[in-house]
Amino acid sequence: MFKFALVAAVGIAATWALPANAAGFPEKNIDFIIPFGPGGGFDRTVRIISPALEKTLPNKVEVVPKNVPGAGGAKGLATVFRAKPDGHTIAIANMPGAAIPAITGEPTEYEVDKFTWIARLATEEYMLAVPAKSSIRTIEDLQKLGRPLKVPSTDFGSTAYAASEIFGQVLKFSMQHLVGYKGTNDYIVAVIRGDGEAAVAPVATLKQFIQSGDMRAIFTTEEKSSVEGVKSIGELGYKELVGLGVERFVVGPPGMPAETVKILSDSLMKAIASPEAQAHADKEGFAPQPADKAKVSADQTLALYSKYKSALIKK
Amino acid sequence: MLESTLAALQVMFTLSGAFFLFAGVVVGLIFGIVPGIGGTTAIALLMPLTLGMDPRNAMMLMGGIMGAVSAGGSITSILINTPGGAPNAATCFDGYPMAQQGKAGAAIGAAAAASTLGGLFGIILLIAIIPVLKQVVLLFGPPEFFMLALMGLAAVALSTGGQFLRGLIAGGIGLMLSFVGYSGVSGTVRFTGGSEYLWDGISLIPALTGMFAITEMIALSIVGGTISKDATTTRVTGVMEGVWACFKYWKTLLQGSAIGTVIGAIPGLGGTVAAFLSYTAAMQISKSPETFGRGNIEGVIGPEAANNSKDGGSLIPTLAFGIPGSAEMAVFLGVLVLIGVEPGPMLLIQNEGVVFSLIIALSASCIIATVITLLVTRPLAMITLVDVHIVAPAVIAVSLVGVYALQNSFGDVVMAVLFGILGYVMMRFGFPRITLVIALVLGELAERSYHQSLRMADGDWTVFFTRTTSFVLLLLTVACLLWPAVQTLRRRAGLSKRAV
Amino acid sequence: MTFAVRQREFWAAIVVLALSVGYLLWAKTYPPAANAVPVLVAWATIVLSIIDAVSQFETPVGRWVRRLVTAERIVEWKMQGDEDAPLTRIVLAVAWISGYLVALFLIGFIIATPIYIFFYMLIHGGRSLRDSLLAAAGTTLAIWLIFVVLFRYPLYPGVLFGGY
Repeated sequence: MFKFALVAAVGIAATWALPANAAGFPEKNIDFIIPFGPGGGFDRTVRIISPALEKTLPNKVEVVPKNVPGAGGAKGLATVFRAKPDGHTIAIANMPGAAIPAITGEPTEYEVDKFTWIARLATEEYMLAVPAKSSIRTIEDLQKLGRPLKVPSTDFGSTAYAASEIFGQVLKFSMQHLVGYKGTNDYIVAVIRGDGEAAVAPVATLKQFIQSGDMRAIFTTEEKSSVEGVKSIGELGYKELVGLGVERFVVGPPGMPAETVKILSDSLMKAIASPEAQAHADKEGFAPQPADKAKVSADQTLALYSKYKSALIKK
Repeated sequence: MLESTLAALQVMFTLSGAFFLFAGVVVGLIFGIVPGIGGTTAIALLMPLTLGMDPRNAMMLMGGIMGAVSAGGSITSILINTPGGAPNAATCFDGYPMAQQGKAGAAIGAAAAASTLGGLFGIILLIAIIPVLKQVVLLFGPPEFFMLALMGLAAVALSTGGQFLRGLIAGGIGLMLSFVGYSGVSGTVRFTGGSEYLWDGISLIPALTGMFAITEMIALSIVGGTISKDATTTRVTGVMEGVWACFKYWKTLLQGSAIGTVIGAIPGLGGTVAAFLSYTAAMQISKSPETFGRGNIEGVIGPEAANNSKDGGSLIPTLAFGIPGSAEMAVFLGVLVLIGVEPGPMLLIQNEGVVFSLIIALSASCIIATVITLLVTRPLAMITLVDVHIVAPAVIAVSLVGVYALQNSFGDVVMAVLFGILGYVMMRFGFPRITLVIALVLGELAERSYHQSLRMADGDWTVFFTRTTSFVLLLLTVACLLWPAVQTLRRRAGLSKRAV
Repeated sequence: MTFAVRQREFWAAIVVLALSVGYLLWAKTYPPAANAVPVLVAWATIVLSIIDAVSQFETPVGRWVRRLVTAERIVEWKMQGDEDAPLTRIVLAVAWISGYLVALFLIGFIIATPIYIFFYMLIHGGRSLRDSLLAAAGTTLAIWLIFVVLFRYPLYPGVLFGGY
C-alpha cells in the first residue's frame, strides 16, 4: 500500500513539475488563479487564454487555471500577493474591483498598488438603462426627478455600485441603492420587475435586455456607443466619464523580475491574438495592453476612482 | 419550437449525442448515490471539459447529469438512511422504515417511478409556460421571496412531528448560522471572528454533507456491525408494486410535482425545501397521516416527485432571464458561458437549439436513470450487509474529496467535518438535523428579501400584504400552519360521533 | 427543594440557551440594520430553549409543558442501537475523522486517504491486514482515477506540498 501511495505521489508530483530541460522562465507549470468560483466571466477568460498561452510561452509547460474563490475576490488576490514572485503564480484581477477596498479604507491582505501588472486583457464599459416603459428618457429626466432614483446592485463597494455613485455625482442626480441582489442579471430583472428604476451594468450584458425589448438605454460610457440609437456619455457632454468601466488585468506578486514579466506579457499578447482566442473576441471585449501600458491604465483607474472616494464610502 | 425539438432528438440519436447523454446519466447516478456530492459537484467538475465541446453534446451531458442525480440519491436514503444529497433527505423519513420492514424494493420502485414521472411533469409544465415565461418570473420579487422563505420554515416545523420544540430550536440555530459572513444587504461582515473563510458565510454543500453523510458514518463507526440488522432489508422484491403505488397515489404524485416545479423556479429555495414541502403536503392529503414516518409509501412518492420536477422548474428563471433557480443551475450557467452561450433574456431566442437539447436530454435522462436504478438496486442493496468499518471510511473519504472539488477550498472540508460532528451531537440529543439545514438554506434569503422589500417600498411594511402574489403566499402559509389543527379537530369530531 | 430532572436533556437545553445568549450579545455589537434579524432569531431561540429546559422537570408544570411540545409521531430518523454507545467509542470515532482531517491538511488527499483507511480499518474496525490494504488501495485508486486522471482535477496537495 505504501508502494501504491508512493507511486500515486510520484504520479501527482510529475504532473506538477514537468522536466525543466529548457533554460529560463517558465521552468514549471504556471498556476493561473481565478479569484472567483467556476463559471462566470473571469473564469471563462482564463480558461480561454490558458491553452493559447501554453502555446505561446517559450518553454512547454502547462498553464493550470485554479479557482480560489472567497471574500468577494480578496482571497484569491491575497493568495497571489503572497506567492513567490517567480512568475509561476499569476492571477486575473479586475479594476476597480480589486482597488475599491483600498480606496474605501477596508482592510485587505494585499496592497493593490504593489502588484506586478503583467498585462491588460479586456475592458467592459458601462451602460445606464431603464425599463422599456419608464418615463425617464434622458439625463435631464434623471436630474429633474426630484427624488432619489432607486438603483439596485449586488452590494456596497461592487464595481456597478461605484460606477452608479460616480454617475450620480457627475451628472448631479441623487440615488437610493437597493443592494443584496445575487448577480448582474438578477438586478437587471429587479429593475424590469419594478424593484428599482434604473440599472447600471456592463454594456455587453445590458445589450441583450435592450435587444429583448425589456430595457431602454440612456447612455453608455464607451468612447463611441456600440448600441444603435444610443449616445455615448462623451457625445452627451460628460467627457470625464468616458471609459468608466471594468478592466481585466493579469497580475503577479510584487517584485517579479523584469525579464519574467516581459516573457509573460509578450506571450499573453500573442495568445490573445491567436485565432483560438479571437474566436471568442465578441464576448470577451479583448483590449490587450502589454505590461508597461497596463500599469499606466491601472494607475489611471485607481486615480479616477480615488477622486470619487467620498461617493464610494458606505452611507 | 417543434423544429428545435426534432433537431435535439436527432442529436440524441447520433453516436456522440447518445454517448454524452449516457455518460451524463452514469455520472449523475454515481454522484447521486455517493453521499454528500451531488449534481452541483458533478457539473462543477465536468465544467472545464465542456470548453470547446459542441454545445448540443454538452447539453446532452448536462441534462443527463441533472435528470439522474436525484434518482441515485434516493437509493442510499432508502437503503442506508444516508441521503445521497440534501433533496433526498425527506425520502429517508419513510423510505428507511420501509427498508427495515423488508419493503426496500417497493420503496425504491416508488422512488424511481415518482422521480421519472415528477421529472417529466416538471418539463411539461416548463414547456407549457414558455410563452409566458417572463411574466411568471416577474411575479416574484423580494416580498414574495420573503413569504416563500417563511412558508418553507413553517412547513419544516410541521414535518418534525414528535420533536416539535427541538425542531424549532434547531431551526433557530440554523438561522443563526445562516447569518454568518458578509451581508450584502447591510454591508457588514458578521460573526466571522476575523476568519477569511467565513467571509462568504457557511457554504451549503459542505454543511449538508457533514450533517448527513459524515454524521451517519460517525454513528455507524461507533456502533459497528452491518447496516442491516436483519437480512430481510436486502431482499429487494416488490419493485413493481412500488411503481404501481405511484399511480394509485396519483394525487400525491401530482401535488409533489407541482410543488417541485414551483419551488424549483424560485431562486434560492431549491430541491431540499421542495422535497420537504411536498412531504408535509403529502401527509396532509393522506388518508392515514398517522403512519407517516413509519414506512408510508406516500411519504416516499411525495418528496421524490418534487425533487426531480424541480429541475424543470429551476430552468424557468434561467431561460427567462439567465438567473439561476438553484445551486446546480448556477454552476450550469457557468457551463453555458464556457461553451459560448450567454445566459440572459436572449437565450431562448438566440439559442433555442441548445435549450431544447437540454430539455430533451433531461427528459431522456429521467427515464434512463430510472431503468438503471431498478437494475442496480439489487447489487447495491448488498452494501447493507457489508461491515460498516469498510463502508464508513470510504464514504467519508469520497465525500470529503467531493466537497473539496466543488469550490477548490480546504475550508469547505473542515466545515464538512465540523458539521458532521455537530450533526452527531444533535442526533444524540434528539435535535432534528433537517430543520437546521433548511433554516440554513432559507435564513439568508429571508433576511435579505426582508430588507430589500422594505427598502424598495421606502420602509412601508404593508408591501408584504398589498402585492397579490405575496398576499396569496401569506394565506397559503397560514393555511399550511393551521391545517394539522383543523384535521385534528375534524378527527376528534369524527371520533366523538362514532362514540355516540 | 429539589426536583427530579431529566439531566441529559436538561443540560442540552441549557447549552443551547448559553449559546443563544452569547450569539445575542455578539449580534448586539453590529449596527442596527445588520443586527435586527439576528437579534430577533436569538431571542426566539432563547425563549424556546427556556421552555425546553422547563419541560425536562419531572413536576406537574414540567410534564404539562412536555405534553404540549411533543407529539406521538416521531419523524426524525435515528440510528438503531446507538443510544447505548459507550463514550469511549464516540470519542474514538470523532478522533479518527479529526485525525484524517489533520492529515489531509498536512499531506493532502492522495497520501492521507490510504493511510487513514488502512489504519482505521486495521485498528478501529478490527479488520484483517489484507482487507485493510485492499480497501485503502481500492478507494484511493478510485478517487485518483476519477478526479485526477479523468477530470484532471487538482486535488488538495497538503500544506507541506504547496497547498493553500
